[in-house]
Amino acid sequence: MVETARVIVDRLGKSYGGMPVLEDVSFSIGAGEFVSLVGPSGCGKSTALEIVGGLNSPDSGRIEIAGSPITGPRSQTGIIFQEASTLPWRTALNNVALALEMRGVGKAERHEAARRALAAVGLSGFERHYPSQLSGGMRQRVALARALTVEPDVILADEPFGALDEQTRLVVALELLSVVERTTASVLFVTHSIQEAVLLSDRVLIMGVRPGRIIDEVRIDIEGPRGPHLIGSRELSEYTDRIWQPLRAEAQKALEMQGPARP
Amino acid sequence: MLALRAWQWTLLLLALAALVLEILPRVGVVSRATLLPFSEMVVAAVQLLLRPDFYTDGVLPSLLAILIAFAIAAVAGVAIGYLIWRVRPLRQAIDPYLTAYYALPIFALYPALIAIWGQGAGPITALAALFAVVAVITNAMNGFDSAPPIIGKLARSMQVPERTYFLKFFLPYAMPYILIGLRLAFLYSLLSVLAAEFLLSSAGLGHFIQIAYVRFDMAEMYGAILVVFGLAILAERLITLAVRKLTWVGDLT
Repeated sequence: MVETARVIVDRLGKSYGGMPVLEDVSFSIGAGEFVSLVGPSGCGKSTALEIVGGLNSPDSGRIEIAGSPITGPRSQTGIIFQEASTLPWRTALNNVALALEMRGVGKAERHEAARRALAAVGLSGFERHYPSQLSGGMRQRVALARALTVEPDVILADEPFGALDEQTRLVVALELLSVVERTTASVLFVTHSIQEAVLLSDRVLIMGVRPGRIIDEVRIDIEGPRGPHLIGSRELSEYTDRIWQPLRAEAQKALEMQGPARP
Repeated sequence: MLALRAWQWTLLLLALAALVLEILPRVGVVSRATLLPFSEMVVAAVQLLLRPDFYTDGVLPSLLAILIAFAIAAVAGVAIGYLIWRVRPLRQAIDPYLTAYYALPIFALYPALIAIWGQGAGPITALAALFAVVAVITNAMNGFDSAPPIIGKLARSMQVPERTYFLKFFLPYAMPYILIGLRLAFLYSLLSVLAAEFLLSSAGLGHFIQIAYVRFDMAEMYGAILVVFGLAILAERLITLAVRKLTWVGDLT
């Protein structure tokens, strides 16, 4: 595994104001592998993703992607953020073309690439729509399309569907999966939804809370293509239970750390 | 009757107001020395609009002062707003008092400004710019606040240079608010220039009205007031339309 790993995260440590957020976090992601990171709120999973994306720097440990150490943002890493990161004054097409525009790619070429990416996420015909005219799920598909235009070999997604309702969320998540399956991109997907993680991933990494560290790892071996038919299936719920076991204690711990609820 | 559209209601109310203004002086409720019948005001306004000296001594000096004051307020307002927004100690010191600015009788500074620049366009323009600039500052700061931190991360992930980030990500986010500030700044400039001309000046629309008033030339005074009201409303409508067109509809970048 390690020989073919595209992303290597080695003994990552990070603390904020003396408070350890990440401690000794190590994992790797193979080429074309879909790996989810689940854990309770505040376990540092978003921080870990930002460090892999070069947006945040670790106190200790190192990241290597495609053989090169990471010290800052990298052009072949596509990031999909938690909140809508579409620019409201740009049309869907111009939002998708943004990443290429910032690289100085000419108008005709970047628009062509943006049109293809929009088609890939099922948004053909919405090129001229503004973000305010699109639903939350569509806006995140625009963000996905933008990440695809740079032909990424690594895609980082930080709870991209967190703001969507459960039904939309699973549908859009499966769309994301079908899009990235057509590429050889490695995916690191941060989520707090165990069901979502199981549905999409080849492997699920389970994080504990404060300090954030990886407490368990579950390989998801589901036969055949992933799709909505799995929702509610026995296979899925077995994996969900399996992941929930180690998480339950951590979730309890996270709750206690936040202090008692005030009346 | 109730099925009238908004603009039809506006016209109806205007007609009613004109009618009241026409009747009151004609039946003697108000003396003609105080109020002229509306029709005579309109005639006087039209006569004024046909006089070249009304433009050279009235409209043009006022318009020039308004535009210069507006331009100063716009550029300085965005720049100062960004500086205050960016420098935390400055912001903590100034922010609570910015909203109190329009409670200050800023016109009280007029004598001091005359002492500095002498009588004329200088102090009038300076006063108007001073009056208008804070509206741009406060609105620009609201605009900068409205840019979500996520766009900073997005820009960094794309390795966008600082300057490009400012021009293509940050500033457009603030633009709708800045435009609100610019609209206010224009109206404040207009208001301030005319009021200052009225107080003490040798030119401009405000001065024109003042002179007519001193001469007891009621026709010219009301005619000029009517023209000023018309111009102010026209300017406000045009700016509002322009702001609506510019605000994120169409690619601002």
